[in-house]
Amino acid sequence: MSLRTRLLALVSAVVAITVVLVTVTVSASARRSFAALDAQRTAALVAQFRREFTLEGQQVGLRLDRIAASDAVVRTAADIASRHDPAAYVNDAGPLATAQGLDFLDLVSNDGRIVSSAHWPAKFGYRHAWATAADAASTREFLQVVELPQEAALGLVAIRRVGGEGGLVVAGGRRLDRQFLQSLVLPPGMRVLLYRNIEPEISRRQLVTASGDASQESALEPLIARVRQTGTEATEVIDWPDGPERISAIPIDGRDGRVLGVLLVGSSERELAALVRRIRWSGVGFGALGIMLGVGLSYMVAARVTRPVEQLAGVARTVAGGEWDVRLDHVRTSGELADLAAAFETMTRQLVDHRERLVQAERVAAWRELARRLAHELKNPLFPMRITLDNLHRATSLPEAEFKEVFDESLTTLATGLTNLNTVIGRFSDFSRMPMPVLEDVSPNAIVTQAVALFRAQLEAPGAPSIRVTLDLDPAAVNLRGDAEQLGRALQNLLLNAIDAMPAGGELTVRTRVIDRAVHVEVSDSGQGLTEEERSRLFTPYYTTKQHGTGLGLAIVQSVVTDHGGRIRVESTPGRGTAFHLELPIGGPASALAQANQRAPGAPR
Amino acid sequence: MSRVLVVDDDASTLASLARAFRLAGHEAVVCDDATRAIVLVKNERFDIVISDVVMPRKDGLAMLAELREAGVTTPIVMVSGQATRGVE
Repeated sequence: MSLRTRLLALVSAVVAITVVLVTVTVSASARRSFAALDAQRTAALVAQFRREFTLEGQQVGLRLDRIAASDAVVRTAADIASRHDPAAYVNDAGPLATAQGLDFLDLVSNDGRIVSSAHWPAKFGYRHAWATAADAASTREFLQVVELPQEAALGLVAIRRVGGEGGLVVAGGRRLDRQFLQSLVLPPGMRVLLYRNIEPEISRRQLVTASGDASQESALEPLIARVRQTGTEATEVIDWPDGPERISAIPIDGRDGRVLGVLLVGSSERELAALVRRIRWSGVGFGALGIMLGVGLSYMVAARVTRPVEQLAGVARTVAGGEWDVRLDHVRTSGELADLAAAFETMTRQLVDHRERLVQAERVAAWRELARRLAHELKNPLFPMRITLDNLHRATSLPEAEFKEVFDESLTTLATGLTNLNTVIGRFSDFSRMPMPVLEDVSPNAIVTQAVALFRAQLEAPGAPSIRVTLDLDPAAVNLRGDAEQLGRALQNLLLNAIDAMPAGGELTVRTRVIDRAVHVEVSDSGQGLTEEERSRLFTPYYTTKQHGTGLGLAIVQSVVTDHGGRIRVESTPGRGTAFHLELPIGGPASALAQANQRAPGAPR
Repeated sequence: MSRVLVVDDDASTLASLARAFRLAGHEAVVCDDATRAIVLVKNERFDIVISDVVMPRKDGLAMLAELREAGVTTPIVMVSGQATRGVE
């Protein structure tokens, strides 16, 4: 992953995480504020409800007081007490209730029987369900289920006593229904519902609202059921098609502590949902904007950072490719990158310096080695020549016949010595004159075959060690940019070495292979192999393990292979044989350089 | 007059050295192979052995070691044109 991509990913990730965090935090705090506000509003509404409830109760109590104090009721009470027939008063309650604006009114005798009922006249003579003389001891108003001819209703009622022993009990009140709810002042976004808990099963009929009936609100039923069962407050958020609503359900108890009603205060969360939606969308918007800005910014920063780095990498590749004389003037940098560029330039200069010194040292060492070798090679034939001259000198005093014998022998020795000297000088001269390869399209297989053919006669000569030659040629190894003559000479050297390594006979194998745009040639023998030290000095010019040899054979091979852009290596196991392995690029030295550049560090693979 | 054995793989060296000893009035025997030289030294009497160091097959130093191991006390002089490591 490039720096640019990484920077981009990092900026995007930071922006995205920040925006998500801010959005989540703001949403959560908005939700919390809304919840707190909602709780306040709900509490205020419930308080208002209780106040209205108390006021309504006071009204009911006041009106019942008036009825109880009215002349007609006082008289009726006196009449009933004096054993008048109660049937005469059966119609009394109706006008009284109407006059005081009560929905329910019963006149009940001291023994608990109904004398007159405003809301259900036919109940005359029945035992009253909830009002006795004893109940009248308390003047407190309370919630009560009141039976009507068609249905049961929820009423806010009170009980009063008229007259002494044997007098009347007056019980009455008002319905708790839509009208009562309409008296409440609702803040915007809030509504209030009342469930009248007067049937054994939950019934939608018993749910009333200020505006109309709420028979569709079946989703409220589980909440109502819960409050009915536990008798404690509960809150739930219900998702309506037009938005969520937080519903708080508060139980309203009757005189005996039974839950008779459930007050439902609804607070629409539509605004909150809209706000959260707005926050979320702004988050998305800011996030997108931030990421866009980040992308632009990181691209700019990355370009500033990576362009010089890429230029530096390009220069480094050039240096790796062997082009040492590079300038970094075109790399525009500042700060640390300028330091890097300067350091790179210094390093390149030092490398060039170092390389020059190394080349010089190598050249000196090579010259020294050449001189040493040359001296040794020349000294070998000189030794017998020198002794021969001494012999001749000493032989001058011998008789003629004996001198002749020494003289002839000395001439032969001197001639042989001169020939040897000539040979040595000729070999060194050849090596020094070895030209640069002339590149042509050549066939490695043909070169191998020809080189091996040159040794056939030598190998098949009587008395020669028995060496079996095996050619294992890859049919694909027929094309290479190279110098046939030089490659042939290199191969001859390797073959000669292999044959010399097997004075007692053995196996000589020459193999060609094409692997990865390079021709591989392997010459292996089954001779005594090389020691570790011999192997390490193998390619040093003028090193030899042989009595007669200039030590130039492998140096020539290496020189040819290097000139062809190839490589040479040797594998040897003492006692098992030696294998020389040449690797020659099919395209010649130029292609080898190109491949090396491609393989340079930092280059794309 | 002494009896000298000259061991060297180079014919010219062998011939010139042998001639030099003969001219000095000694008897010189030549041999171009260390293995055969060992057999000669064990079976015949020599006053001194002159030997090359570097020879194909068996070299002079190996020959020297083998002869000394076999209890031969004949003086042996090593002659070398090649610079040995540490000794010129």
